[in-house]
Amino acid sequence: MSSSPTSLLDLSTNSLGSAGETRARITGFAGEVSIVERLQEMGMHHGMIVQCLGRTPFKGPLLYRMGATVVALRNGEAQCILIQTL
Amino acid sequence: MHTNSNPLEIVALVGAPNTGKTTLYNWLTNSKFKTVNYPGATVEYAIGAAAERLKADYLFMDTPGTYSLFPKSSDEEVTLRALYEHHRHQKVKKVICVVDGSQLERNLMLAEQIHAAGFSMVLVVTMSDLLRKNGMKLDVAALKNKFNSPVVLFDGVLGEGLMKIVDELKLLKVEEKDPKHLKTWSAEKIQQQSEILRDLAAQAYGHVDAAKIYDPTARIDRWLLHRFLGLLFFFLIMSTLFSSIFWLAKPFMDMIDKGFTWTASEILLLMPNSLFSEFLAHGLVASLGAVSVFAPQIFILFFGIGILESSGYLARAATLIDRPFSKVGLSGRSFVPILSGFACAVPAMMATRNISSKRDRWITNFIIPLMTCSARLPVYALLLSFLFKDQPAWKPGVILALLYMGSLGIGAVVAAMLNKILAKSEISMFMMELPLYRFPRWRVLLQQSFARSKGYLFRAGPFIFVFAVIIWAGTTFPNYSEENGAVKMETSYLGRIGHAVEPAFEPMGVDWRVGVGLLSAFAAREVFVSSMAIVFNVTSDDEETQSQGLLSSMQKAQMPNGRLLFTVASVSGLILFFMIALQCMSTFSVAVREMGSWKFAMVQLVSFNVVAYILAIALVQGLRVIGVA
Ligand SMILES: Nc1nc2c(ncn2[C@@H]2O[C@H](COP(=O)(O)OP(=O)(O)O)[C@@H](O)[C@H]2O)c(=O)[nH]1
Repeated sequence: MSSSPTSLLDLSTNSLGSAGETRARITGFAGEVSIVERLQEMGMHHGMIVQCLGRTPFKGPLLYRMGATVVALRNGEAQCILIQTL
Repeated sequence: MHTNSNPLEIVALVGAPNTGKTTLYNWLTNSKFKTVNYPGATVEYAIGAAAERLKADYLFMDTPGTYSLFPKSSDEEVTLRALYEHHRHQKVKKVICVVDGSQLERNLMLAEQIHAAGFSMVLVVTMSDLLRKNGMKLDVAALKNKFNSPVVLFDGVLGEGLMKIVDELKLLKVEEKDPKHLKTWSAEKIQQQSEILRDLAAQAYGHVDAAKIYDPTARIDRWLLHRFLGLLFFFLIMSTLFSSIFWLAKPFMDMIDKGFTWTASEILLLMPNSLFSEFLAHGLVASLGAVSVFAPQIFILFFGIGILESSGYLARAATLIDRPFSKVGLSGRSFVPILSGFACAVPAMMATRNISSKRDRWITNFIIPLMTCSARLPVYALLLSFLFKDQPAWKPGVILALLYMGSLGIGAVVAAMLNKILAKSEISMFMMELPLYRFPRWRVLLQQSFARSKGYLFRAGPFIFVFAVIIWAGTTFPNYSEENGAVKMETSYLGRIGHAVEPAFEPMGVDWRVGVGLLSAFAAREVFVSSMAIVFNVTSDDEETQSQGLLSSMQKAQMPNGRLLFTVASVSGLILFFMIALQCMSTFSVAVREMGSWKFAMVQLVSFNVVAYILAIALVQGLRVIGVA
C-alpha cells in the first residue's frame, strides 16, 4: 500500500523508545538547496528505505535509521525529504 | 632516510568523519596521539613521515573529515585546500580514500568524486574486523572495477592490511596532469550517481544486510536517547565527569603536594639561611608545586572527555542539546566545542570549524572563553579549599560543579543576547550522524591524556618560572635581612609598586598582593596560584604541607585597615572575576586567527575584562551591604 508523497517529518512524531516505528521510501527532495545538497552528500537518496526511530527529548531532533546509519535531523531538515510510506 | 633529493611524495588521507581516517594515519606514521577525533584533533591537517618499518618514502597527510569535495564548513574547506594547494610540499597526486566498510552506500560518493577529479587513489575499506565479526564478505572486485583503483581491507584495531596499502601506493600510477577542481554537481547528477553507487554497494555486500551492524548501537540508544531517561543519563554522565575531577584526583594531589613540601624542606635543611635556598624553596618549588598539584585534575578532565568522544556518546549529547541550544542561537554542533572549552579554549575554538553556519560559529566562539577551562581549575580549587577549609571534600566539589554549570549559564545568557542583536541571515543546520558505540582504546586514550596534561604543565611552566623569579625577588628585596616578614613585604620593591595600583583593586575587596596576583594571571591564569603561593607562603611554618600552609596564611592575611583580606565576599568576588575575565593571550590569538578578525578578538578581550571587573566589584560591595563580610 502506498500513499501520496509527504515529507519525512510526517512519518512519525512518536517519542523514542515507543512502539510503532514506521518505514518509508525516499521519493525526492525539496526546499532549501544547501540542506538538500548536504542530505544527499550524507548519502540520502531516492529509493532509500528510512525508518523513523522517534524524537529526542525537548522536542529535539528526530532520529532516522537508514541502513547501518542513524542520523539526527531537525524538523526543517526532515521536511526537505519527500517520502512514500510503506 | 630517503635516497633521492626530491621532496618526499605526499599522500593525502581523505574520508567522511568517523571512518577511521585518523586511526589509519596513526598506523601509517606510527604516531600515538590524536587517534580519537577529540574536538580539534584533526582540525589542521597533520603531516607525518611514514613509519620506519613500512620502508616507504612518503609523507602522509591527515585531513578533516569531509562528505564531499564541495565544502559546506570551514573544516571541509581545509580539506579541499590541503588537497589542491601546496606551498612547502609537493602537489598531492595520490590519495588514500578511507571508507567505512559498514557504510559503503553512503561513503562511496566521496570516492567517486576523488576519482573523477583525477587523483590516483587507493580505496581503503576500514572496519574490516566488524565486517568479519558479522559474517560479511565484501566483493572487492566490484569496487576495484568501478573506480579502476586498488581496494584494500583494513582493520584499524590490529592494523591488518597496512603493508598491503603501502604496497598498492607504490604500484599506483600517477597521471602527468594535475588533478582538476570539480564543478559542483547538480542535483540530477548526485541523484544519478547515488543510484549507481547504491547498486554497487549492494553488489559488494552480496546478500548480507549491512544494517545489522548497527543493531547493538540502536538498542543502547533506546535508553541513552530516551525522552526522559535520556536526559537523566546525560546529567548523570556529565556530573560524574565533573565531580570526579575533585574526588578521584584527591589522593594523587595529596601525593604531589607532599612531594613538593618535602623537597622544599630538604632544600632549607641542606642550605640553611641562604638567599639562594630561600629562593629555591619559597620561590621556585612553592610556585611550581602550587600549580603541579592540579595536574591530576586536568588529566582526569582530558581523560573523561576522551572517553565520551571515543565511545560515540558526544554525538548523542550534541543531539540531546540541540533544541535547548537553538533557543539561544547555537546548535547541537556547538556542544562539542563548548565542552572542550572546559579543557581549553584554544582547541575548542578550532573545533568550531565544523559548524557550517557562520553565525552559529561566531556566537559559539564568542562564549567559549567563558567556559571553565583547565587553567581556571587551580584558581577555583585554591579559593574553594580556602572557603571550605576543614570541611568535608564534597562541599567544594558541589560548588565547583555549580561553577561549571554557572559558566554554561553565563555563556547561555551572552549567547541569547548576541542572538537578539546579530542579524539573522543564514539557515543553521544540525544534521548529525550518530556513530556506532565503541569501546574506547584505553592505551591510546591514556597516552593521549598524559600528553595533553604534560602539554598543560609545560605551557604554563615558563610563565610560572618567570613570575616566580619576579615576584620572589620583588617581595624579598631590598630589605632581605628584615626578620619581620610583613615589614619586609611592605617595604619591598613589589610592595611599593603594589601600593600604587592598589586603589584599582580596593573596590574588589582585596589588597595589592592579590592585585599583583591578578595582574600576573594575565600571563596564564594559573600563575595567580603560584603568585599567591609566594606572596603568602613566606611565613608558613614548616609543620604543614605547602597547600595547608598557604591556606592558613591566607586565613590570617589582613588588609592595611586590619580587616581580614580573604573573606566570603572578597573570595566570591575573585571567583566571579575569574569566571568572566579573559586572561589568556593564547585564546586571544586563536580568536584572531579563527575568526580572521582583530575586531572580534578585541571586543571579546575588552568587554569580558571590563564586565568581569565591574561585576566583581558589584558582588563584593553587594555582599557587604547585606552583611556578608
Ligand atoms: N572496530 C574498529 N574500529 C575502528 C577501526 N578504525 C577506527 N575505528 C574506531 O572508529 C572511531 C573513529 O575513528 P577515527 O580514526 O577517529 O575516525 P576519523 O574521524 O575518520 O579520523 C574511533 O573510535 C576508532 O577507534 C576499525 O578498523 N575497526
